[in-house]
Amino acid sequence: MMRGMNAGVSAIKAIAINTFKEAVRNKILYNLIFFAVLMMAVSLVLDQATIGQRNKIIKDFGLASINLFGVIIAIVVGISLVYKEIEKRTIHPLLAKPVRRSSFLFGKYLGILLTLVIEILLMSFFFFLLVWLYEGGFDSYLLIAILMIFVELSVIAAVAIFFSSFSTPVLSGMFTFSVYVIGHLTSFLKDFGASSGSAIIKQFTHFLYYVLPNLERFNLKTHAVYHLPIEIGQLLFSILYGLLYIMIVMLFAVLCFERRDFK
Amino acid sequence: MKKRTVILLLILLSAALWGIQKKLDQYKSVEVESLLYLPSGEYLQPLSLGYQLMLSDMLWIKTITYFGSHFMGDGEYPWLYHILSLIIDLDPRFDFPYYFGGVVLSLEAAQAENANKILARGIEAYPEKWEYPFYIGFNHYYHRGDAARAAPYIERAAKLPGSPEFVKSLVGTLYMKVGADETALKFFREAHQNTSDALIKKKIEIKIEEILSRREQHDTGH
Amino acid sequence: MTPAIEIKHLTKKIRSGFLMKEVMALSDLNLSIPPGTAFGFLGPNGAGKTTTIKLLTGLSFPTSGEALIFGRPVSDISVRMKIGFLPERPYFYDYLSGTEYLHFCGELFGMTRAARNKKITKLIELVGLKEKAGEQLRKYSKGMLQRIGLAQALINDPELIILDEPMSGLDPMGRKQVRDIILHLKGQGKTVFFSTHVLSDAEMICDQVGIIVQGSLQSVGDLETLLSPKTCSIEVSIKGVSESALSLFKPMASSTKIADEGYVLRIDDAGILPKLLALLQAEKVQIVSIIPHRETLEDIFMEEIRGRQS
Ligand SMILES: Nc1ncnc2c1ncn2[C@@H]1O[C@H](COP(=O)(O)OP(=O)(O)OP(=O)(O)O)[C@@H](O)[C@H]1O
Ligand SMILES: [Mg+2]
Repeated sequence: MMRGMNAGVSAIKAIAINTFKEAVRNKILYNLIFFAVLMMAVSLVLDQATIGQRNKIIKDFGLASINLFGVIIAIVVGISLVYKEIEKRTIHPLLAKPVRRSSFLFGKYLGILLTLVIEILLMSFFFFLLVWLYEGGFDSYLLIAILMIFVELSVIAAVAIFFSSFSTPVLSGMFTFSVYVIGHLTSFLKDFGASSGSAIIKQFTHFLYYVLPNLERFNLKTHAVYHLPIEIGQLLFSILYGLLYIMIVMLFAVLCFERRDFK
Repeated sequence: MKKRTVILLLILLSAALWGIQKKLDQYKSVEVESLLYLPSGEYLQPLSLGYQLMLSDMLWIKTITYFGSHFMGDGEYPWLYHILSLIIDLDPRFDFPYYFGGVVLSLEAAQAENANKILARGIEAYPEKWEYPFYIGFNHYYHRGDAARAAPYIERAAKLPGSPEFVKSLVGTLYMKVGADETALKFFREAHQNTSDALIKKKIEIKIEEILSRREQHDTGH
Repeated sequence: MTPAIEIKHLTKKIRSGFLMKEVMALSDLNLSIPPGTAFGFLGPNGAGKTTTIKLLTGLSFPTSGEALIFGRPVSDISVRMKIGFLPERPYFYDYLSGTEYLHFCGELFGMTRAARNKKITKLIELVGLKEKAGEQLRKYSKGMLQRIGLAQALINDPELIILDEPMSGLDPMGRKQVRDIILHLKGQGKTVFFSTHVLSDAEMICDQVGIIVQGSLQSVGDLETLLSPKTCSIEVSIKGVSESALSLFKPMASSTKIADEGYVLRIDDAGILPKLLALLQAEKVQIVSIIPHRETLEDIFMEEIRGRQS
């Protein structure tokens, strides 16, 4: 039993690291260069701008870019991860070994998280360097915003894996992107539904509110830039919300994946 | 994993997720307001990636819910002006926000200055509409009793097509208040000529009468 | 003794295409393979070999019936500790080097680094990839991929090795190497289950064969018993014989073919060979060669298919 446990952990770890290696060797992290170039360009343009606004704009742009580049990676890598293994049949020798299908999915998921962590760390390093150049200090508020960006990306990656466990990359890409966009609007839609007067619209928007991830909960960018007070309870509950959402989505993915025949 | 275990876990986790959603909803008032810390329209415009119209519609719906919740609640509207100006930055041809801003900001939120800024943008976008200058004039007069600043706007409104008769006579009334009797007289006479409404004609006649008698008094006083 | 593989009434229907048309890929397969056997699973293209192997390795699930490996159902994940598997036309992560891939596979079994290092060195030697082991798999040729595939199948020292067409796409040299590896495994007492449609490969290695056509097993057994009923036919090549003399021998032969400067007589009964030879000598016919022909798998194979089709 103990040996089985260890083998399981070792397998998940191996699959995660292999996924990360794939991202690195297939040059996924090259988009970091775009991030760096973009940030440099923004800061060069800002040299012409008025003092005072400058720090704010650097922060706005930096956080938005970290978020956007992260989302792109989470979706692009997430939707192809599982599909590629099936399509290229690299999964065949793997599943004939003592690896549970749930472990496979979990390993894949950890691999993409690892990729996202490294990506975010590198972008943040560059970002903080720029902020430090402009402001001469370290703004810890930004760190909280970035942490929450990571939580958002983790949710999106789980959604991408879920879709890719049963559909093609193009379709899963569209689905995941829709979830990303609508996920930022659910509470807005709920308010809209409540004030629309139509019972059907109200129920539908409520349904979306509870089923789709409420991604706006992870958006603390304005709080960070304007140093608005952040309630610690809200922060912790938001993280817990993200974790639970990820677990649910991954379990659905496991359900879809568990009984699947491979070509 | 066994299917039964997975489904059981799913049910438990979903219940927990629902509970947390509810819990987080209690923090909501902060969250809704924070949505309004949007950058100014100047930055939002390029960031909307070509979807300005849709974005402004969404912000408009947001405005209504924001207004509604505060109307029922504290009656304070600190973000109303900001969000309205975002909407018109994104979509200057969207006319309803001008009316809404011009009237609600002034009467309900007691922010006449901001109301007039919105209306001034309205005039830029729709110079042919008489309502916007009329509201500006109205705001000046109603809030401050400042007839001198109100008069030119009402005058402008009166000259635009579609403005009702009472606006023209209102111009006269305002100029009268300021003491510019000659100008007032000119407007009253014009209005008198143009209107076919007996009641208004009657009222204008009284006003003209008043100016004329005042002038006589003035003359004899000398 | 528990069989290495025991398959009971295994049936697989596959739905596919837009209309979800149902294909019977495997119907009511029954097989029992004792440990230590080299089993050749023979069948033409589309017969259901790969389907069977996927069911054995947990890559797909049966419509009905079950498969046991060393007495445990294949759905029991612990069974796979004892299995090595080489898929058909294998493809591996092409961004990894051969050594890296083998390490990855070792980790899936929870092997320690030291154990992996030791095993991998041996395996790379065994499959003859010493020079190429450090290169990325995207630079490997088809044959090299097949060999690294064989190495990964052996990483856990499996009791049962399942190989899906291990020799397809290999040159004669490569075929021989794979054959030698299988024989080596057999020598160690392992069970080898491999599919092929190339009969000579099976003939040289197998203790037992099963023949599957269109999803159902046609015959199964020891190579000897499967071949024995018509063990022999004998071809006698002769030269310098006149038309008239030929008519004397013709009734004895089952077939007569014209060959260069003579004829080939084929007799199905070894018993009449002495009589024929005596006759030939008497007629002073020059005997070029006498070749006994064991019936080949090819023949059985073709017969099965013909039987199936008629
Ligand atoms: N994914 C699939 N979709 C539809 N039909 C399938 C699928 N996989 C297999 N089949 C059908 O099942 C039958 C058996 O196929 P299988 O791959 O097991 O044959 P095989 O014996 O391995 O052949 P080959 O020697 O060509 O590899 C075939 O008729 C094939 O058309
Ligand atoms: Mg096959």
